[in-house]
Amino acid sequence: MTEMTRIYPIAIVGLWIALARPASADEELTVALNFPQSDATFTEMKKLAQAYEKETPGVSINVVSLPSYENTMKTKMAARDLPDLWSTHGWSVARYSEYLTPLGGEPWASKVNPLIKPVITDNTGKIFVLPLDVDVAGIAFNREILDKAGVDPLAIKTWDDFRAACDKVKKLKKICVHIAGRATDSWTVGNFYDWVAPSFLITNEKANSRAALKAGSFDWKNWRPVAKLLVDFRDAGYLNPDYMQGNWLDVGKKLASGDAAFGFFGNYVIGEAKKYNPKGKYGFIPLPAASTDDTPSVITGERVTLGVWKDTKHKATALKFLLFMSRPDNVNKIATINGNPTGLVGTGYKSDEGDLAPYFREAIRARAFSYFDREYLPSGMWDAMCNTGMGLLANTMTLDQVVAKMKNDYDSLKSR
Amino acid sequence: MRLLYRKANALYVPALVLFAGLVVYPFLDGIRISFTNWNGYSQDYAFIGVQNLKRLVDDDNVRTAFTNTLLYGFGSTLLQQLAGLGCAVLLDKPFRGRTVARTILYLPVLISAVIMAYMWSYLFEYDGALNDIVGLVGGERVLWLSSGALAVPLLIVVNTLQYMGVSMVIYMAGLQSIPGMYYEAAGLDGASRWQLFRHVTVPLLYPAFVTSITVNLIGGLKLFDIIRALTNGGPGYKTHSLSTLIYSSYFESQLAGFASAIGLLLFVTVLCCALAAQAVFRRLEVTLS
Repeated sequence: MTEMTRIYPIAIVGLWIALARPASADEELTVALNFPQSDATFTEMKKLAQAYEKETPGVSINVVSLPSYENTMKTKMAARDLPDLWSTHGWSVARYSEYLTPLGGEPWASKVNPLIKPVITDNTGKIFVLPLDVDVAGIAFNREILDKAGVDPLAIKTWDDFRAACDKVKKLKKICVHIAGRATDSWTVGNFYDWVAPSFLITNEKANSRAALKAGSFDWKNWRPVAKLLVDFRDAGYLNPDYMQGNWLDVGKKLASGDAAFGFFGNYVIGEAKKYNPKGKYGFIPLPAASTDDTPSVITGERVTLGVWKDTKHKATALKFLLFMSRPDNVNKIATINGNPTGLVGTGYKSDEGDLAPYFREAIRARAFSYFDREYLPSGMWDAMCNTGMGLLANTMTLDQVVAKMKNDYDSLKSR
Repeated sequence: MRLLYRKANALYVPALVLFAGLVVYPFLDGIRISFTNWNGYSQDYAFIGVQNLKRLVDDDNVRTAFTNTLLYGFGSTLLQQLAGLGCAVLLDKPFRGRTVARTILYLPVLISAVIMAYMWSYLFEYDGALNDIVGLVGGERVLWLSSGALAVPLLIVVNTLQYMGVSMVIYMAGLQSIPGMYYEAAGLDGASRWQLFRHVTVPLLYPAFVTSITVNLIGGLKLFDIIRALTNGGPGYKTHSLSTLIYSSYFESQLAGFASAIGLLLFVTVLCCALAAQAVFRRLEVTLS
């Protein structure tokens, strides 16, 4: 036997051993989430997946956090290579519905919270996700700063009231509104516009642009007062001096340390603040109106949702996993972590809103509107909102250029 | 013999297949996509003719990105040649610590551009080291990357510092290959140091110039990672290159057709710059010879 004829069998056996895998579960499902692994929601989802695996031998649930989630999901959609289940972060209808299984026939579908039902239902009445909680968002605040400044947050009804409150906070040499507008993390600026745009364009029953935005006939000159508000705040000295730095986690830190009064984020920013100062007093208020003939409003939308890929090879198992997730205990856990109402309602469904409970009671009295960009702008406009806002803050764009860019992108994307 | 050539030609086939599959096909498909309104992920899209190409002309951000691309390409290349050649000349003669100095100057090339950019981002922070130095000399803190006028030059500087080591190594090799007898002969004729550099070193470094400029120019024209990590093309589209604008248009604005059109523009830009550079090198070669 030559050297080579001795080596070949050894190499083949070695390769086989190296490639051999331990016996796998009968079925493996992948659940992709848009939350980082350090996020409490991700951790809880992993625990629930492990509980399902114990209950259902032969099924393995792999919960993953995809890097650069939206871009990765877009690539996966183009390649038609999607996870079995994934979270839709507000875009179940407008972006992902083409690839999701309609879920209207599921046993839990009749229990969907009326607050979120319009948001996750398409124009033919189909729903595509199981909502585990409902994002109810207003302006988050640090109560201690407002108390010291003599501001009653619930008395803020208009942007003029908000400015008056900021003037009082400014006298205490505190930051009124913390914007963390690093260019590489510009979504915080887009978020500001998502928060304020409805008050100028949507909420006023006597004068609004709802129909025009949906029909594609919106006059983008009407975007000017929305865009200008952030610049006005900057020029009035309401923003943090390093408004072009930092990321949204800094907002939570500043709320926690008592340096910033307001943050234009959902209640997840309060969850972030509590990590640094669990004893701090926080709350949120509905978004002020742009005029005195209008009333404050709140934003509602998807926060933690799960949909099933329509072409998954494990559809039956995926739907069973959704059924498991829809149990009251499991829905309550996810909703409580985010300080949000549950996505399903009925017997047993209740989240612990903690010290935000009085603010939720106030929020429920206010009118609720969907996230502006998800409801009224074509998918893809978010980037334009973020970057034009950054351009205004940095004085690299004029209001005319902002209006032109928003119109250009809107027309291109709407025409699809 | 003919059979031997035919067999030898067959060895090209795998490389040709790879080239066709990984370069030619994506290029042609990119041209096709530029005539559609595809959003990058849907299975449905429509042919829209030359609308995306027309938008290339009308869009302010494309004009800005195009200008920036040329600035990043030629600006970085110029600074890299000056810095690289300067360092190579200084490190040509042996001295104590020369190896350590070479290593330190070359190290940034080995670091990922993204990591380099993140390190610089801490220096550029409002509370970062640069502003601390500014404060020490009595100045006001600056939002370095938040001004369009400052951000583009700063990106050129960061790119230069990252890759000047490449030029330095190329020029060092070039300097080592120049026979000493030319310097001796010129020295005997009374040439000064500057005259030695201008009339001996520079002409004989011509091949090194061609290599270094070509490598750095291509790298600068397609600059992506440093921009993405430091400014993401902002503030407000001011620092975009064509590469980053392609990424932003495709993934963030979901205008895949328009992104493909920008890709065509980038291809034409790099091709024209490469052809222009070749013409200049050919003329220089004739002049020097």
